[in-house]
Amino acid sequence: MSSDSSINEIIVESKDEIAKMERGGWFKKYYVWFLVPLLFFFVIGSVESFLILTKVPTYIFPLPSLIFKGFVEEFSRTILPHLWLTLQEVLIGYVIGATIGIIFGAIVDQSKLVEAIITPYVLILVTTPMVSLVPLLMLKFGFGIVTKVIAVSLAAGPVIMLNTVGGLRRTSQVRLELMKTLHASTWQTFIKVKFPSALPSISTGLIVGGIFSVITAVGAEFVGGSTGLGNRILYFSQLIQTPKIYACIFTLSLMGITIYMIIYKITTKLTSWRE
Amino acid sequence: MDSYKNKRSGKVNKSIKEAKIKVQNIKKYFADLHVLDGISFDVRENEVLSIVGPTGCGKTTLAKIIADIIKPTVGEVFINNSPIDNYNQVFSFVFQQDSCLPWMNVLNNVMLGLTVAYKDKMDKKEMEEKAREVINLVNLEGYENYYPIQLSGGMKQRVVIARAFCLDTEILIMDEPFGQIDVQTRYHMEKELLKIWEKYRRTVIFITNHEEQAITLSDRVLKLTGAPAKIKNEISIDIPRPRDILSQEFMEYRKILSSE
Repeated sequence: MSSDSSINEIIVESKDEIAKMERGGWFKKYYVWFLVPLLFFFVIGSVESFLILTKVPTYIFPLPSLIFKGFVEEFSRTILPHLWLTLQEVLIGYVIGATIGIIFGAIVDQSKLVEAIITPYVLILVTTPMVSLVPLLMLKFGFGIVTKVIAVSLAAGPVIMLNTVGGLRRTSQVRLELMKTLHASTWQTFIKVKFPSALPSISTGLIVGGIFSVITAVGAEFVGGSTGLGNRILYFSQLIQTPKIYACIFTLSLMGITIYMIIYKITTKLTSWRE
Repeated sequence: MDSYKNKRSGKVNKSIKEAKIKVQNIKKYFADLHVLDGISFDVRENEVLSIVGPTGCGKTTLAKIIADIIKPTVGEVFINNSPIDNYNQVFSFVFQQDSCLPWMNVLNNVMLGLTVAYKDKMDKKEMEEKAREVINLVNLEGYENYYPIQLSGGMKQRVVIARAFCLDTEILIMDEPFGQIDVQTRYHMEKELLKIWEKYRRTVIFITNHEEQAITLSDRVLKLTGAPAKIKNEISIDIPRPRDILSQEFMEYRKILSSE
């Protein structure tokens, strides 16, 4: 009985210990969340004081405080609605591009001949800046969202497809032979072995494709139309309202980072089994 | 080619009858590399046949030809007295390299063969029951939800062996299944393997480069020469199982196998 109680005491004690460690570890675990904003404010503060001291004119580089003011002024009037439009172009175009890219990648992987025929064209699509197609697309589809969605999916799709094909091709021989001994169908082999094997590579494609999407959407907005954050940058530059230009640029950066983080998190989660 | 075929079918038909697997005059070239040079042997039903030979002599190639993973350049494999192309059952094949799928947990890895090959024959619940039974047999109970990345090399190998045993195939081919495993675990695994084999008796082809292991496990041992491989020697092991590797007769067999 006494030994039992002493064991219990030990357990209770160690529980306390663990709790203490967890409390102490809290700062260790989340210190990034303190340090990052701290550094951010330090950098902003330094830039602000440097600009005040050196008297750089506002139209060249506005004070961070002015940028923030411009951001707040334009937030609900300009930034939010146009961000939403840009975001729509990016997301719809990206999803279409990624879907087509992965499906085409899977089809191409089925035969060496198809790959040999299609790859040159895909390479042309990957290496041609899709922004340069936008004027042509506008002749056909007008200045609306359709043109930009097409441009974005053309920018994201090929790079995702190339990564899909590369990933599928690199499936290890043993795993394919294993499926062969089990008389697996093409579909079973694809869904149980090849696609998961290719996932790390597809993930890379998805991340790069996401970055391409944002670039292309903003580029397309520069070319024509009257909507989107890219277009607003042009608009404010014509009015020489530099702080608002910067406000738009930072919003775009924030959007890019958020998209990147989301894709990164999802793909990391999907490939958490990675050796 | 035609004359060769005629000759073959005329000559062999009689002796095939007792054999489960009949390997006939297999030759294999990879481009200029001559790997197998006219290998012929039979495997009887429920027999454990070991194939030993120096590393790089083509044992793996031979195993893959028997399992219809690769085609021989010359020669043919018969199963149940008909060409391997007519054989529509699956093979249980344990690969030398780690063939765990890292994106599946232990349970799903073990069930893989069932979900792929017996999709129409069994429902999900039966498959899981079967898989758990075999997982217990290889001492992996409690690890069902672990992923391969969390397991040691020996445990991964047991997952692969469990996967092979889950399928009630007629033929089990194991290509150096304990190659990556330390000696201690290997002895244990050999014992386990015999236990499993007693339980689900089937025709086994066991590839290894340990002669001792071959004598411990098998009814018959084929010894191959270095590449291009030919059959150098064939002996039947006539000791009751479990076999004591320190016994007099065991030593005798070792001597016979390694001398010639």
